[in-house]
Amino acid sequence: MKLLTAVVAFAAVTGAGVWALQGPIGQEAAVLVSYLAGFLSFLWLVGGGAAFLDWLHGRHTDHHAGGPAGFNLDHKVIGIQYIAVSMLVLAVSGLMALIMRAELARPGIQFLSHDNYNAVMTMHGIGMVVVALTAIVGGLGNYVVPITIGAKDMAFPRLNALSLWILPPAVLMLLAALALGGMDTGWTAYPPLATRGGVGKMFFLLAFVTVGFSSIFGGVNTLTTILTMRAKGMTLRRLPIFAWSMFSAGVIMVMATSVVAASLIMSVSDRAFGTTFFNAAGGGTALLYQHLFWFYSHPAVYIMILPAFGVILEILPVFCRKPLFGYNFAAASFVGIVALSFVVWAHHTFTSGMWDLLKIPFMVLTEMISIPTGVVFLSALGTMWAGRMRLRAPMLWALGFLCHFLVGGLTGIFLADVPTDIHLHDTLFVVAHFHFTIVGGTIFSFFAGFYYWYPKMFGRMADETLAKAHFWLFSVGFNTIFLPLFYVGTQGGPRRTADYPPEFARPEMIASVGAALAGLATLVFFYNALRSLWAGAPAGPNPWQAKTLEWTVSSPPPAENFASAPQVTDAPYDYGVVDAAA
Amino acid sequence: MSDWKKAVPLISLASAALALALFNALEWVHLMPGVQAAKEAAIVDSAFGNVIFITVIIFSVVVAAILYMVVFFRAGPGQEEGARFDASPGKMVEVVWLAASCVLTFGLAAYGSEEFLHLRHDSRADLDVQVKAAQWSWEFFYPSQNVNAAELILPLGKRARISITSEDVVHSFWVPAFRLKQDALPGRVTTLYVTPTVKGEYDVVCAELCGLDHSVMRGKVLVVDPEEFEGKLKGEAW
Repeated sequence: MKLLTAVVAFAAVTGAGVWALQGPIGQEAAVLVSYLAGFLSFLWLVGGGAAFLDWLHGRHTDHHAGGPAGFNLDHKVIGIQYIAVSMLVLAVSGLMALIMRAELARPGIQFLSHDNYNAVMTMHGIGMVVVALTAIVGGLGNYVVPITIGAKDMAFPRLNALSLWILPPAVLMLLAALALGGMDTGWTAYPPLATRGGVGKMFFLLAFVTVGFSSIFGGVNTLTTILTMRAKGMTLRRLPIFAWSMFSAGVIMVMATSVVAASLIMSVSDRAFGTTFFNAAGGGTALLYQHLFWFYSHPAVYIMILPAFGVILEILPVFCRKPLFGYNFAAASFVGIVALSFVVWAHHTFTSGMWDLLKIPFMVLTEMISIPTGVVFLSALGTMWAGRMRLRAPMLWALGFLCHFLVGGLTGIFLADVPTDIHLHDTLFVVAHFHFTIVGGTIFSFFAGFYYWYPKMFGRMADETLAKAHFWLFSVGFNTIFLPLFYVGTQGGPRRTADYPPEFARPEMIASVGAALAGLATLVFFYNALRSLWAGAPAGPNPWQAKTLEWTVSSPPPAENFASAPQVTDAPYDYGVVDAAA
Repeated sequence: MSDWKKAVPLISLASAALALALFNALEWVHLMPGVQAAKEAAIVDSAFGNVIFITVIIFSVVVAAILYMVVFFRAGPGQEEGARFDASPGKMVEVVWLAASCVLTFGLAAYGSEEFLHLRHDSRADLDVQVKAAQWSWEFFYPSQNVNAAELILPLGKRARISITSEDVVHSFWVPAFRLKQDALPGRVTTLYVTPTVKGEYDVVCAELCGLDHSVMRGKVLVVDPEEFEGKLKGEAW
C-alpha cells in the first residue's frame, strides 16, 4: 500500500513539476528539478522517511517494520526484494528483446519505425545492464554474504534498504522515457547524439545516474560488511569464495561508478544548463565522454562477472564433493582482475580516433585479463577433476556457465586484438561476444545461484525437472540467437540497426527463432520460481550437504541469522575423502 | 594418478576431433566477407585466422575436458565423496597453467602489435580524400582535384589517405571489404590509410549508432583502374 502511494506520489510530483516549471526554467531543467523532488517523495513515502527520522532522533528502527514489500532493513528481505526488482526488469527488457528479434526476423521494416526500434533497443540494453548489475550483486549478494561470513546483517542496514529503494524511481523513469519515445542512443548514450533531441533522453540520463548511486551505496556496504562483520575465526583465508568475489566487485563499484556518474551529470548539464563539455562547437569534445564512460563501464562488466565467478566456484565443490581447487589462486585472481579492470577501458575506443601507439599497451593489458580469468577456469576444472559429480540443476547451470563464458572470453580476444577489432568493432560480432559473457556468464551464474540458494531463501526446493527444462531450452535458444550473429558481424553487419541488407535474412531469421525459445525458457523459470514457493518439497536446513555457514541455520534463516555468534574453525570447502589416493 | 592414464589420451582425442570439426565448420560458413579488396584487408584476415586457430584449440581442449569429467566423474546413486588431491601435484598444475597462459597471452599480444604496426606504419599517401559524415549520408571531397563526389572513388593499387570528420553526431566509416573502420567525430579529423587491391564496388557502412536512419546510412566505394580514375571522378562530380 505504501509502495503504491509512493509510486503515485512520484508520478504526480514529477509530472506536476515538469508541467509547472517548464515555462519559467525550460523543459530540461524542469525535468531535472521535478525528478529530484519526485524521487525524494518516493523515498520518503515508501518508508525511508520514518527510518530517517528514527536515525535523526537516535531511535532504534524495527528491522521488519516495512514488511515484505516495504522499507525493510533485514538483508534477507532486501536480497529477495532485489531479486524481485531485477526479475521484473528482466521480464520487461526481455520483452524488448523479443520485440527487436520479431522486427529483425525479416529484412525491411515490419512493424516498428526506425525511431521506435532504437528506443526499444536502448531500453533492452539499459534494462539488462541493471539486471546484470543487481541480480547477483544486489540479490544473491545481499542475501548470502552476511550469513556466509557469520554476520547478523549488513554493516549498514538503512543504507542497504536505501540502495534498493532508489532503484524503482529509476525504473519508472526508464519506462516513462520509453513512453515518450525519446531515447535512441543505445545504453552507452554517446554525445552529441545524447545531448540532442527529445526530453526522453534526459529521463534516461537521470535514471542511469540513479542506478549508479545505488551501486555505490551497495559497494560501500559490501566492503564494510566483509571487512568488519566476519564471525570469529573467519579469517580472510577461510572466507567463502563468493564473499571474495563480492568484495572484489565492491572495490570496483566504489571506485569506478562515480566516474560514470560524473560523465552522465556532465551530459545532463550540457542539456539542462547549456554547458559544452561534449559539444565541439563550444570547445568541448565528444571523445571525452567515451573515455570517461568506459573508465567505469569496462570495470562494470567485472562487477557483473566477478560475483558470477564466485557463485560458480561456490557451487562446484558442493556438487563435485571436493575442496575448491586452488582457493588462494582464485582469490588472488579476483584481485588481479580488479587491478587490471581499471587500465583496459580504451579497447572500446580503438576506432574512435585515439593516438595510434597508445592502442598497443591497451591491447596488451586487455589480453592480460585472460591470465587471471584462466586461473578461475583452472580452479573450476581442478575442482571437478576426480570429483563425484552430482548433476543437479545448479551444477548443470554451472557447467553451462563454463562452456558459454569460455566462448565469450575467447571471442573477446578478437576485440582486444587491434587489427581484428578495427574490422569487428561496432558490429554484431561485438553484440554476440558481449551476450556470451554477460548472459553466458552472469545470467547463467545467477540461475545456478538462484536454484542453489532457493531452498535457503524460501525453505522449499525449486522443481528439479522444470529447472533442467529451463536450462536446456534456454541454452539451445541462447546459442541459436547469438552464434549466427557472430557470422553476420564478421560479414559486415553493424550493430544497433533496425534494418539490414537481404543477404543476412537467413542468419537473422535463425536468431529470431532462438529468441522465441529463450523467451519460452524464461516463462518456465518464472513459473517454477513462483509455483515452488508453496508447491516445492520442504528443503530442510541443508539439502545439498554443503558446508558454508548459511547451511548451518534453518531455511529460511531466523531473523538475526544465528541463535548465537558462530565460531569458524575450518576452511569452507572441507569436502571429500581425507587422504584418499588421487 | 590412475585417472590420468585414461584421461590424457581420451581428452586429447576428443579435443582433436572437436577442433577439426570446428575448423571445418568455420571453413564452410566462411566467416570473413568474400572479397579481400585491400592490402590492409589481407593483414586483418591473417590476424583473424591466427586468433581463430588459437581460440578454437583452447575451446576444444577445455570443452573436451569438461565432457570427460561429466562422463567419468559422476557420482553413483550413493552419496559418494570425491578425493582430495590439492597438495603437491596441485601446485605444479597451477604453475604450469599460469606459465602457459602467460606465454599464450604475451605471444598473442606481441603478434597483434606487430600486425597493427604493419597496418599503420607509414603516413605517406598517393592520394588525399576527405570524408564528411552527416545524419545520414556520406560526402567525399578530393582536395587536389577540388572535386566533390557522392561516391568514394579510389584508384587501384594507390595508397589513399582518408581524412574523416562529422558535421553532427559520432558516425563510423566502415568498409567491410577493406576490413577498415574509423569513427567520424564532430570537430575533429581522424585518418585512415588504404591501398585497394581489387577492382569493384563495395559498401560504406555507418557502424556507430547515429540516430533515426542509422541502419540505412550507407555509401559506395568504387575501386577503378588508375587510368580511369580522373575521368570517373569528373563524371561523379557535382
